[in-house]
Amino acid sequence: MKTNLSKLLLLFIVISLFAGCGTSSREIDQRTMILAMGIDKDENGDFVVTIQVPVITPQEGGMGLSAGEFEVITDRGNSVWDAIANIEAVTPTVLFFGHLKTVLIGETLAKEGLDEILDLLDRRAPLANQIYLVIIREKTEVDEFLDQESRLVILPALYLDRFFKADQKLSRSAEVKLFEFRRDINMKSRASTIPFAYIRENNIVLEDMAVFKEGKLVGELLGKEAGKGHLLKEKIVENMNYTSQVELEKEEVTVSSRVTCRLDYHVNKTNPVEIEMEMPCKAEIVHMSKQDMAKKKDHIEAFSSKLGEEIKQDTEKAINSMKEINVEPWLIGNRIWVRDPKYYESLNWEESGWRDSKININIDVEIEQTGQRGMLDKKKIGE
Amino acid sequence: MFGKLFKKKENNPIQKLSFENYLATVVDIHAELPKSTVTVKEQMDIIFSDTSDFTERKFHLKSGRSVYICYFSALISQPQLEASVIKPLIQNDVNFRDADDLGNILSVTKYEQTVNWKGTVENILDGNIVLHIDQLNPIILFLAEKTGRNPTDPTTEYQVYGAKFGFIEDSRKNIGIMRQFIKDPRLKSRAYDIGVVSKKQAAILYLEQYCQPEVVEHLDSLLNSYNKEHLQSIGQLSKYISKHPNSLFPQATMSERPDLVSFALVQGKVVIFIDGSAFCAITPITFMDLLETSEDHFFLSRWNLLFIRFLRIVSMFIGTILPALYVSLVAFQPELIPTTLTISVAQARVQIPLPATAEAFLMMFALDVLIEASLRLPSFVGQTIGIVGGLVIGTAAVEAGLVSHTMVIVIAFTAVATFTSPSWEFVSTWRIIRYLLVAIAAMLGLYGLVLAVGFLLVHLCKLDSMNKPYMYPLAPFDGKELKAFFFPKR
Repeated sequence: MKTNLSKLLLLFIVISLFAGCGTSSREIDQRTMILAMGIDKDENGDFVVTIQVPVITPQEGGMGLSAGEFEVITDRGNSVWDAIANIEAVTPTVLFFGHLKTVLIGETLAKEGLDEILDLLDRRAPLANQIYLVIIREKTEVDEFLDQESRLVILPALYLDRFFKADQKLSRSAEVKLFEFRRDINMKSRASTIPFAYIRENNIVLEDMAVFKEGKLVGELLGKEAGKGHLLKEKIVENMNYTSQVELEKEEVTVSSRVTCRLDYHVNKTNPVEIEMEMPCKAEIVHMSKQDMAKKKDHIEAFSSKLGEEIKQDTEKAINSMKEINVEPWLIGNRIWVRDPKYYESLNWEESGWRDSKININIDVEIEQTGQRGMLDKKKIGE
Repeated sequence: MFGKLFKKKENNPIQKLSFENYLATVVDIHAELPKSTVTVKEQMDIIFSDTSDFTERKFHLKSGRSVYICYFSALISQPQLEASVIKPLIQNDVNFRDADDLGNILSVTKYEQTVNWKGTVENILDGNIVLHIDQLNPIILFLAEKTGRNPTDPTTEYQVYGAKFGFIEDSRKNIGIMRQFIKDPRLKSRAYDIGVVSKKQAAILYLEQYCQPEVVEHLDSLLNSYNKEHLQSIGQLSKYISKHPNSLFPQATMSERPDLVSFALVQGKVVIFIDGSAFCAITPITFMDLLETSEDHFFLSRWNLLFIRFLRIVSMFIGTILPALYVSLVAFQPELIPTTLTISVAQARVQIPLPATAEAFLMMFALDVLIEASLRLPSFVGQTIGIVGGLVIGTAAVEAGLVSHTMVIVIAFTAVATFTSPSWEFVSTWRIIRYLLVAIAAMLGLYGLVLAVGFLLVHLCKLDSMNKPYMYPLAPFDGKELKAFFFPKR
């Protein structure tokens, strides 16, 4: 009995000592939940930090948020941390970063470089590295963006979260999480992308990608180029939207389609490098200005070759625009380095290797569905 | 260092209350009874003084010899005493030379001569009759007729398909019931008289070749060495035979269903019956046994059994961990709750004056009070309590701003989930553990919760029932047995 008790006492002491490993208790309602944080720089060079917090008020007859129940708080400081500390001084409870979804960075600041901010975001333990990064275009102020009430989703932070989680099939933008960005700028070409966002006619718009080299915003991929960028990096892009003009039986026909492309490439070890890209695509016709055109095989073939051409052009455009600024944000160089580091060194990738590389794209578009459900002009029985 | 802190208290030698001591103040307990009816009556009167139901009858035979009969009137069959003892004695004029001659006159199935005072008094208490003819050795007539009842529907273990037939308070009859369920010569029973004074009849029942002989031998020695004066209930006995009486987990289970017992016997378990209890104890048991009922095998589809057992295990986890998990998530790690849910919880909690831990304790306590209150009351009042308590706790407490909506949902779900377990004993165990887990979650958060569940698992793995590992077939792992638990062979 005596030994049992002493064992228990010892156990209790050990548990109590280990309790230091656990965080201290603080109820949900004693925390100011930050859902989004915006960081920018003003004309004086001070950091401007804006946070978006939901206003917690009891709800009559049920729970859940109602519109407009969020508050945006902005403050300035010599450093980001100073600005955050200033915000903390005007909130009643402790700032809680556990639910931070998105960090919005002003374009001005992004051009100056993100290193300082990334360091802070990375060092603070409560900030999950799963947070999304978004660059706010210059035409929209960061605090204005955070204050923008969407008519569709109650909190702008949740709007962004849902936009990315729902995997919006527009292929004009792609989510980038903090850890992904950190990982990519640590790769051989030290470049990565972050989606752009801005406000257009009171709506939140997410499109285009900002291109970063060594932590600084150096270029951008616009519209369809952003989708091609995703294809080049992830080797797949789904649901790109294309509307093309095709000449079928001497008539101009407008065809709209959704395309999913995959990518596989082979590197010929020459200097400069030659890359053979195989790009099998599958398309689905969603609209045709002339209804009876997709019935014949040669119609479909004509359309698919036209579509292939357009996709190829867009891809080449994206590659060329990046070659112009000599930035390669799609990990192509890294993939070459992984397979053959010596060969990679001989390419001098960062200086001239990428710019001089020769890329051949072989595209093959297959029309999977014509979308036509019935023969509308078929002969009726008895006619 | 700890020696001084936990110095054992010295026991005060209090003289133990003893039946033998009491008897010894009147008679010499080991001495034979005197042959004179007058002396016997005098001493009986002293032993059973102030005992209104103690009945004595005195008359004379035709030869003039006095006859003295004594018994407890409620424990015997009076018509039988009249017809097979008193009538033959009065009508026949035989000159008895010794007690054996009585057998020719009395039409009683069984009788025997008394040995000493102690045995005689015990027999009277047991409902037998002492017949003493002057100058002969007193004899004991076995004419006890105890109040019994017919088997009825089991009232505590409801089942959908199971037999509508429960045990009664007589161990011998219960064994008879089991003989109807299992017709097998290997169904063995051993009888015991437990309690130095009460001599309560008990029996163990087992299927030879199915059960481990060591378990039977172990139980046999335990029951034979029971040295307290009285044995009141099967629960007392279960605690006595448990190897780890301080553990929260039951190491024997109780049942009032013959179908469940027959299922247990075929599984190789040993069943203990005692008089005065409509429940029997089943041992050895494992953790998994507490999650199954015989009824599970009634299902025509095997998938039903798989589903229901899976459901019980999941419910057991929910019923035990959910409040503690809620407390640790709300108070320590809110980042682990989905954002929209966090906002909802925060909104629900914003005007609650109590911290989440106090809220959880309050609700759990209120729930247990409700259960206990409705359990002890007659069913019609019990229902009222349920409705009033449910309304008060469910609606009024939330409206008054004492507890939050989410906490009510958590506790209600916990309560419902716990009761999917078929064993009431087991439900009570988890109920206590639930409090402990909430307490540790309140102090250390998720870290503490994980730690406590870890300790619980270690304890469960260490535990055994009659030397059978408690967590079998999980630890030690036996894949085949585990599969058979969820998906028995055809």
